[in-house]
Amino acid sequence: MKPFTYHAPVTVAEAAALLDRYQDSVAVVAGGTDVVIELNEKQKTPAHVVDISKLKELRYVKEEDGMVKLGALNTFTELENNPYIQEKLPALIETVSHVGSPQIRNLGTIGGNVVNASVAGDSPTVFLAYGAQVVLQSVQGERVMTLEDFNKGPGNCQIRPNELLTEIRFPALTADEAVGYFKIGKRKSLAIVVLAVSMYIRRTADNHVEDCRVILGAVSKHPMRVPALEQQIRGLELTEESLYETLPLFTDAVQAAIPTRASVVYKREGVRGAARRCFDQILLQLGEA
Amino acid sequence: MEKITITFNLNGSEVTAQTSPNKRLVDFLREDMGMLSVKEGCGEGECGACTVIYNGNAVTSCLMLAGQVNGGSVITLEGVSRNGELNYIQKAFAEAGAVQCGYCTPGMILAAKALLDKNPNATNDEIKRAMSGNLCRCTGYAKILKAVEMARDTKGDAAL
Repeated sequence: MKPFTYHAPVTVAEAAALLDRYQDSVAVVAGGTDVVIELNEKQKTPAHVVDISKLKELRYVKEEDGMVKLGALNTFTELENNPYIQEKLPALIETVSHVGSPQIRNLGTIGGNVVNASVAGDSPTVFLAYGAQVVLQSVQGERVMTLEDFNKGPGNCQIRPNELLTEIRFPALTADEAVGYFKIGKRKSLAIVVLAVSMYIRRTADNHVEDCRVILGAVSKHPMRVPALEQQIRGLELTEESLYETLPLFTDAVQAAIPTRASVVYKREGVRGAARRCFDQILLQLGEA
Repeated sequence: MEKITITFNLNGSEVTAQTSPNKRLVDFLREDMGMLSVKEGCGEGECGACTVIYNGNAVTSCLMLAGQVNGGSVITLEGVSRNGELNYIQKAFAEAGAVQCGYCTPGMILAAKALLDKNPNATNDEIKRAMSGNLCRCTGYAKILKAVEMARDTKGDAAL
């Protein structure tokens, strides 16, 4: 590891001031599960390291004004053990409980997972299904943008060097909305995402799909929405039979997205199973299973 | 480079140390604090050999900077036994034959301790999940899981 000056602010204001001052050569460490490796292997050689793991004010989970608000410093374990999330957001539980290993879930933070924007990141896929926004804080103030606009691929998320990701927020679900998530990895633990599917569905009073979002993870450079699939699912009756009929379209979507990649052979088959699990979860949550 | 001062609880004692900020926790514990039970395996959080208990949770010490433990508490294997007396998890590992080359053992025992400290009646599935971040290349996992189950079952009042 190259030498650096170490800063451990205890408030967001202090952290923002440090980032502003040292933005030309700074690395932010929260859980460290990616950044400490990059520092150790000298892929990152900043003059300053800002350790934000002591910012206690960013560890909240709350529902406020119809929005679910997650402080960026919640670890995966903290989210998994949160009673509100356990009750209201099963797809988020499904996501965070399958990240890395127990040790990594105890360290890794949800903000870090989003801002790292890995091709195979676990949480951005499900957050896109929830319609999430990110809150970015700097000495100039606060910016809010949709995750869709924020995440443009690995190392290319739209955060400025003097900004800190402080919160992920999304609309609280009503009784007519549900989200599903399913990850395929090579084994249960310590597996990066080979393929993930997440889906949001809102139903009409007569039990049809009024609106939906379909996100494929680890298929493109960033989790991607598939408008063509969404269009096919909208209007369908909310039954296993009619939803399952769309499964071959998922294969088509993967084939179209990565026609020349070697992994397409596996992913185009696996995607149907992952999509089916999402439909099953959604039907269960909406009481239609 | 300016040194940083770290004050933390190591195996039950408050300690203060000065060190270079560009050290990972695993290096700080081994080089500065002499905690040689903490093994580096993969250096990227995949193998669990460098597991320590930080503020009550199992973590991989290769993924933390030394300075991050300032104000916190760390338990290494050195803090598990007392006065040369093995604790109940260590005894169960010995009894079950859950040790072969031994390199993964400190991390295994600390992962088990982190679980059983919080959840003394953990189910076998909960044990499996808690141990899923630790790799072993020789003993095989059956005996290791058996050892943790034995530790859970025999903890009794004699537990350290």
